[in-house]
Amino acid sequence: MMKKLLQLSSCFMLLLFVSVGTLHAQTVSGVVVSAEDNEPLPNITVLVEGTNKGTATNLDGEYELELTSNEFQNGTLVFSGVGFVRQEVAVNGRQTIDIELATDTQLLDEVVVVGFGSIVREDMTGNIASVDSEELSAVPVNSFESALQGKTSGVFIQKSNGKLGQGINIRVRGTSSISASSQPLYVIDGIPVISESQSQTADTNPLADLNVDDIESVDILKDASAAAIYGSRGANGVILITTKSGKAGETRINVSYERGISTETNRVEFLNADEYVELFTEAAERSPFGDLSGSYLENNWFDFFAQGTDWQNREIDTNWQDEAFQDASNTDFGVQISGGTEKTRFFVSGGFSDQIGIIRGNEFNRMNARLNLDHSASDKFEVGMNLGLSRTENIRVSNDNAFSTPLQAIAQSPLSPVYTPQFENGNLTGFSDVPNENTLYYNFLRHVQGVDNNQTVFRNIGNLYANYEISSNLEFRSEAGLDLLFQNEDYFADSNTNVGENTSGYGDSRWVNLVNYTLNNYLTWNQQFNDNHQLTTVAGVTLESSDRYQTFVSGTNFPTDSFRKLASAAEITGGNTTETAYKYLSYFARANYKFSDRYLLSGSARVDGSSRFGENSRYGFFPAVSAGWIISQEDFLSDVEALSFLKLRGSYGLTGNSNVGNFPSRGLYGGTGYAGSSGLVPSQTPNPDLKWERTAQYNIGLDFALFSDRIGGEIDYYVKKTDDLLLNVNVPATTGYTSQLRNVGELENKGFEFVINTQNTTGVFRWNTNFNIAFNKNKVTNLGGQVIEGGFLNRAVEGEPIAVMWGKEYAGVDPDNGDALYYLHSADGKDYDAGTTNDYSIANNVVIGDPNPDFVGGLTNNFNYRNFDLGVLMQFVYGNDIYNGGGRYQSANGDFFDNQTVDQLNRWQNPGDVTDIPEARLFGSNGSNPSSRYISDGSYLRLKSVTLGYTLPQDLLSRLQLRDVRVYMSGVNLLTFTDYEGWDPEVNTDLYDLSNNLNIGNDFYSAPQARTISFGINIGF
Amino acid sequence: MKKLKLIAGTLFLSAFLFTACDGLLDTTPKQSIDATEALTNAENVKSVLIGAYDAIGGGDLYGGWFLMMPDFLAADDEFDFSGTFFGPRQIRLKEQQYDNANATGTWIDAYDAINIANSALDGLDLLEGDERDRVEGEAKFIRGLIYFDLVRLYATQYVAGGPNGQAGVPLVLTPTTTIDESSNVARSTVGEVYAQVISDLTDAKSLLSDVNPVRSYYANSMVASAVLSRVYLQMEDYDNARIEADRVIASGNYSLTDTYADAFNNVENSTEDIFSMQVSAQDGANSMFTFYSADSRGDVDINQAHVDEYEAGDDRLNLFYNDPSDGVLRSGKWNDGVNGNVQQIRLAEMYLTRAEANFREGVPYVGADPIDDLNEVRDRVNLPTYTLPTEFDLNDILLERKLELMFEGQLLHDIKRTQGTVGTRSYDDPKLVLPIPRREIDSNPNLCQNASYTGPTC
Repeated sequence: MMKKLLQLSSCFMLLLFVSVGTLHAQTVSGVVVSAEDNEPLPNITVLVEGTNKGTATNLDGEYELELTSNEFQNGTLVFSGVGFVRQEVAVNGRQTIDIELATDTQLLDEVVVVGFGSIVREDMTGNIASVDSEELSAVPVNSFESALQGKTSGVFIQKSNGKLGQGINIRVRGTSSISASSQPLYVIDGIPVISESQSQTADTNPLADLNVDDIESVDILKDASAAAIYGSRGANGVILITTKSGKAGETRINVSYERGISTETNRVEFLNADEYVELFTEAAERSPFGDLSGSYLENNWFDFFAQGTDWQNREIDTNWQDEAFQDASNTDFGVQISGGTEKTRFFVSGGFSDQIGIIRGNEFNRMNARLNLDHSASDKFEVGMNLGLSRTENIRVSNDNAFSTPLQAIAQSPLSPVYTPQFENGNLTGFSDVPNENTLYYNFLRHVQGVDNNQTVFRNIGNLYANYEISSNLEFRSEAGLDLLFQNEDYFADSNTNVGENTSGYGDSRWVNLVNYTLNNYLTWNQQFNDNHQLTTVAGVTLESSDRYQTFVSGTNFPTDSFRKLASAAEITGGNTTETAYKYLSYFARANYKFSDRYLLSGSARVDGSSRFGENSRYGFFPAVSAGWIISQEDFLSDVEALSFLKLRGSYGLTGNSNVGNFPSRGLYGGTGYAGSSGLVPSQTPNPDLKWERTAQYNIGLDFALFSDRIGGEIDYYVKKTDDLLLNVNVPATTGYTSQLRNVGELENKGFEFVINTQNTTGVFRWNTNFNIAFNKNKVTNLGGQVIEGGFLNRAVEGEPIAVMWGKEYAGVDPDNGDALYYLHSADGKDYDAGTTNDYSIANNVVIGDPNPDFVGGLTNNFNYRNFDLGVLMQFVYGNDIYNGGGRYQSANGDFFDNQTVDQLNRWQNPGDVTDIPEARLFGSNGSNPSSRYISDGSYLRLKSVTLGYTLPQDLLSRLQLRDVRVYMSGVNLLTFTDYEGWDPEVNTDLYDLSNNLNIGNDFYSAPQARTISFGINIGF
Repeated sequence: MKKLKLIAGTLFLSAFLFTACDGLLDTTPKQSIDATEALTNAENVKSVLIGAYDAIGGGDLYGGWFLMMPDFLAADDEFDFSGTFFGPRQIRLKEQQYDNANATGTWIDAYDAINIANSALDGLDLLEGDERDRVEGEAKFIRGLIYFDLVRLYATQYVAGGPNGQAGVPLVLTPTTTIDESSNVARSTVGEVYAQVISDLTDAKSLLSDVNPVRSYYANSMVASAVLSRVYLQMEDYDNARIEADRVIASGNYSLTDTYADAFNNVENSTEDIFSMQVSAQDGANSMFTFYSADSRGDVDINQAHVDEYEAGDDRLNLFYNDPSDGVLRSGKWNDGVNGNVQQIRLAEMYLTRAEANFREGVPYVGADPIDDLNEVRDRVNLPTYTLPTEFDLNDILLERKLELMFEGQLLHDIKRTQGTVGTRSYDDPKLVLPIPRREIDSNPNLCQNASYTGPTC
C-alpha cells in the first residue's frame, strides 16, 4: 500500500512541472454585483465563450481577463455562478464591463453533487433527489435522515421506534435484495462511511453521530446512471452528503440555540382495575380448565397482584403507561464560524445536543466539532481538509422483547402497585421507593434503578484532498479519507435486577474499533469542441479498506451495588476479541457529452473487486448509459411561452450489492469451548462461485418548468430488476446447516415518482409548495422454490412482494359459541368458499398482509410575509400492513393475565352476540394464536413539522450590530391521522435485526415516536 | 511539445492509477479457519470432538429441551406450564404445531451436533492407536445418543418383535461438504435408526476404556453401556438391558450419593453421575434452570396430584419448595443455573433398569435380585425397604422409576414402552410424537410428516 502511495505521490510531483503558457493581448476588467442588492459578488465565473479561458471574481466582485485581439473585438463573455442567472455579454472592444447578475430562482440550475464530481441539474440525465441545508434545518430532529422524511421522492424512511439514536430503515426505490442489506451507501465528502449498526443489542444509527448543522447538501442517487459509478455498492441507492465549506469574505458567526419538550405521539387505552377484574373473572369462569373463578383466581392471582392492598375495593388502579413514559426535553446549541481569504477558506463548527427521551431511562447526547479548510496554494493547486469529530452518548433501555423495556409494563395488572406498599395495622400508608418486585412480569423500574446501559461512540470522519489543475481542462484530484469509529458499550445490572440478582450483579464491557480508509485518485477532463460539443470525463481508481476489531469482557459477583465496573467483578465469566476486514479495489470512468445545449449523453462504468468474493468471481463490471433531450431548446418550442423548460431523459445500467458478511464464499470452522477445553466446529459450507447481486435498472423521466419557472417538476418511471440474489437459502437442517448464501432468485421493483414545485405567490407574500409522491411495487419473481422467513410472520414468497405476512386468516367469532374462527382456505391459496373453522391448526396459511407501502410522499408549504416565515410539512405513507406481535398478549380476550386493550371488553358473552372479540377464556388460547387478527393498516398522514419564524428587521439589527436574528417555534409530529390500532404506525420493532429485509412491518411493545414542541433562536454576527 | 509532455505525463500517471493490485484484496478470516485446513492435523480433529460435546450441551439438546420436551408431553395433572413461551406451553397442552419453536430448535441443533461428530469421524485417519479409538468411540457415542433421542421424540415407538418399518428420522453418517440434491435425505425406518444407534453405541462401548483418560466427564465405555441399557429397555429387549445396566453397576466406578438432594445441582459430577453435561459461568447451558427454578422464570408449576404419588416420608418430597414470589410448588432439581451440571444418566436409573429387566425376564437374575436393587433406591430416600418379593409388582417398580427420575426427561419414553397413558391419551396418541419441523418439510421434498401435523403423509 505504502509503495503505491509513494508511486502516486512521485507521479504527482512530476506533474507539478507540467505547465501551460498563455498569450498576451488586451485586458478586460470589471465588477460583478447582485441585481437584487447591488452587493459585489465573489466567485462568479467569467468565461470567454467557446474556450476554456476564464477567471473568477474576487471578494469585491472584481475580475480581470486577458483576451486575444480577436476575442477582444468579437468575443463574448459568459458570467455564471451558483444561484444566479447566467449572462452572456459581447466584449465589443470594451475594456471595462460591469455586470449585474439576477438571482436565479430556477431550480434546474442548481448544482448537484454526483459521484466524483458535480453537475448542473439542467444537464442531468439520471435521477437524483437533493435537499439543501436550509430544508434540513427546518425540521428539528436529531438525525439528518429524519429530516429527509417526506422531502425526497422515492426515499422511504422509517424509524424503528421512539427510542433515541435507534436504528433507522431507508429504502431507495424499494427493497432490492432479500438476504443482503438494502440500506443505501452513505458517502460524506467523497468518502464512503460506516452506516451499519455496531450495537450488540438492538440496532443503533451510526449516522446519528453527524451534526445536521454541518451539512450543506444531501444528494440521493436513485437511478442506475447516477449510482453505477459506485458499482457494487450502488444498487440500494447512494446518499451523498456534502459538508459546509468556508467562503472568502468577512467572518460570519452563527449561533443557534433550541429547547424543546416532547411527549409520545399516542397512547393505547388499557383496562383499569374495575374492567380488569370484570374481564378476568369472566375469563376464569369460562376457562376450558373448568370454572377457575373464586378462590383460585382471587387467591393465586388477584391477591398476588394486590400485594396486600384491597383489590376488592380497587385500592390500587395503576396506569402502567404513566410509568413507562416520561416528560422529555431537548436542548441544542451550535456555533458555526466561516470565512477566510481567497487563498484560505474555513468553516468551523461546534455543537452540543442533549435529549431526554419519552421512554423512561432513555437519554442521548452528542458533542460535535468540525473544521473544514480549503487552501489555494496557487491558482492551479488546491489542498484542503475536512475533519469532523463527535462523541455520542446513548443511555439505552432494553430491547422491545425484554420484560425490562419500559413499554412492556403495559402487560402488568392494574391491581399491582408500582412501588412496594407500606402498611400500618393492615392499612395502606404509602409506598417505599423500592419497585414492587411481585408483579406478573418483571417490574421494569428495577431496571431503571439498577441498570447502567450506556453506549458511547467516538467518531472521527475526515478527509484530505489535493486538486491540481494540470491544464485548463484537465484536473487531477486525490482524496484520502478516514472514518474512525470507537464504540463502547458499558453495561451493569445490580443485584436488584433480574440480570444481576443471582450473581451479585452482572457487568459487561464491549469495545468496537472500526477503521475505514478510502483512497480516491481521479482525473477530470473537460473539453469544449467549437460551440456545440461539450465533453466532461472523469476516470480514476479507488481503494477502500475496513478493519473491525472488537473486545468483550463480562463479569459477575460484585462486592456491593456501588461497584459497577468490571475491575470489581470477582468472576470474569466471558471475554473475547475478534477481528474482521474487507477491501474493495475499483476502477471507474464516466463521460458526459452535451451537444448543442440540448442533447445529452452520458456513460459510466466501474469495475469492482472485493475481498468478499471467491477467486472465481472476485471482480464485477457495472456499466450505465443515459441520454437526455432538452426539448425546450428546440426551435419548435421556442414559441411556447408557457413552457420554460422541458427535458426528456432515460437511463439504463447495472449496479450491485455485496452487503453480506465478510467471508461468505468460504467453508469455515469456528472456535468454541466445552468445560474449559477449546473446540472447533464447522460453521459454514463453501460456495466458491458466490458473486455479486446484480440490479439492472432503467429509468425514464421528464423534467419540466412552466410559466417562467413558477411551476417545475419531475416525473419518473423506473423498473429495477435484481437477479443472482444473494440469498440465504434454507437448506435441510439434517446437513448440519440451516442456510447457505447462494446466488438464487430474482425480484423487481417498479415505480413511478412525481415531484412538483410551485411558486404560488411572489412578492411580499411568498408561498411555495413542494409535493412529491412515489409509488413502488415490489415483487419477488423467482426464488428457486425457496421460502425465506423473517420477523413474526414475514416471508419471501414467489409472486408476492417481499416480506408479506403469511399465516392464518382470522374470520371473527362464531356468534353461537364465541369461538374464534379462521378461514380454512386451501393449500393452493385463498378460497373463501372453503368456509371457516374453530380449529386453528387445520386452517391453511395464506398471504394475510403486505408491509410494503403502495406509495409514500410529502407536501411542503412555505410561506413568507415580511419578516415572518412559516413552513408546514405533511408526510404520508399508504397501503402497508403492520403485524402487532404483542397483540396475542395485549388483545387476547383474557387468555392470560396480561392487561388487555379496552376493545377486549367487547368480547362475545352470549349466544347471538355479534363481535370480533372471541369469548374470554382464561388459558384457552381462544383466538390468541398468530393470525390476521393482529394485523392492521399502517397507512398514515402526519403533520411532520410546522415551523413559524420571525426575522428581526434590518434597522433593528444594525442598531444591535448583528447580521441576522431569527426566532422560531416549531412542532414535530403534531398530528397523525391513521387507522393503526397500536401506538404509532411509524414502527419496526428493534426485536429483529433491521439489516434483514424480511423484518419489516412488525410492532412489539415498540415505543411510539415523540411529539416535540420547541423554541429556538439563530443569531448571525 | 508542451502538449506532448502533458499527454505523456497523463499517461504515466494513468499507468499508476490503473495498475491492477489484486493482492490488495487478500484478507483472511481471523476467528475462523478455512474448512480445507480444519481437518489436516490430529489436534484439530480432537478439537472438533470437543466442539461436539459443546454442541450437545446446548439448551436445545442435553442442556434442556431433550429432557424437557418429553417431560412436558408426558405431563397430565402432574404439573402445568405457566410461562409465556408458546412453544413449551403448546407442548405441555399437546397442542404443538409443526412450526413449534422448540421442536424446530432441537431438530436443528441435533443435526448440527451430528454433523460435528461426523466431521470428527471423518478425520480419524489423522489419529493413531488409543487416541484414534478414543475419538472414534466418543464421536460414535455422541452420534448414537442423539439419534436415539431423535427417534424417540420424532417417530412412533419401536415395536418389539415388529418390522419397525414406520418412518424414523433421516440418517446422516458423513459430514456435509457441499449442499445439493443429495442433501435431501429421506427418513429411515425406526428399525434402521435403532440399528444405527446400537451399532454406534456398541462400537463406543468396545472402543472406549472404562474411565476416560482425558477428562472424567467425557464419555467412556460405561457411559455407552448405560445408554445401551436405555436403548434395549426401550426396545423391550430386557435381557440386554439388564446386562448393560449390570455392567455399569458392577464396574464399581459409581455409587449413590448420600442423600437424594446431593445428586442434583452439582458443579462437578457426583459419584452417582454416569454422564452429565458440564456447565460453568464461561460455557455450557442449563435451560432446565431457566424454566424450573424460582430463581429464573419458574414456569413449571407442580400440582398436588404429583405430590400425592409419593409415599409419606419420601425424602424426594423434600426437594420440592414453594416459590417465594407466588407460593407455587417447584422442583429443586435444577437450581444452579450458573455452574450446575445437567445430569443425563445417574446410577439410580441403572438399579431401576436392572430391577425391572430382571423382574420381567425372571431368574437367573443378572447381577442382583430386583428387591435389592429397589431397596438401594428406596433406602436412600428414607423409604421402608421391601423384605419380600410379594410386597411389590411391576407397577411399583415403574412408579419408583417415575418418581426417582421425574423431571429428568424419562417419563414419556417409559410411558410409551410400557404402553401407558398420558391423561386420557393412549401411549400411541399422535400428539405424543413431535412434528417434523415445518422448515424441514419446506426445504426437503423427500421428507414425510408425522400423523396429525401438516405435511406429506408417510
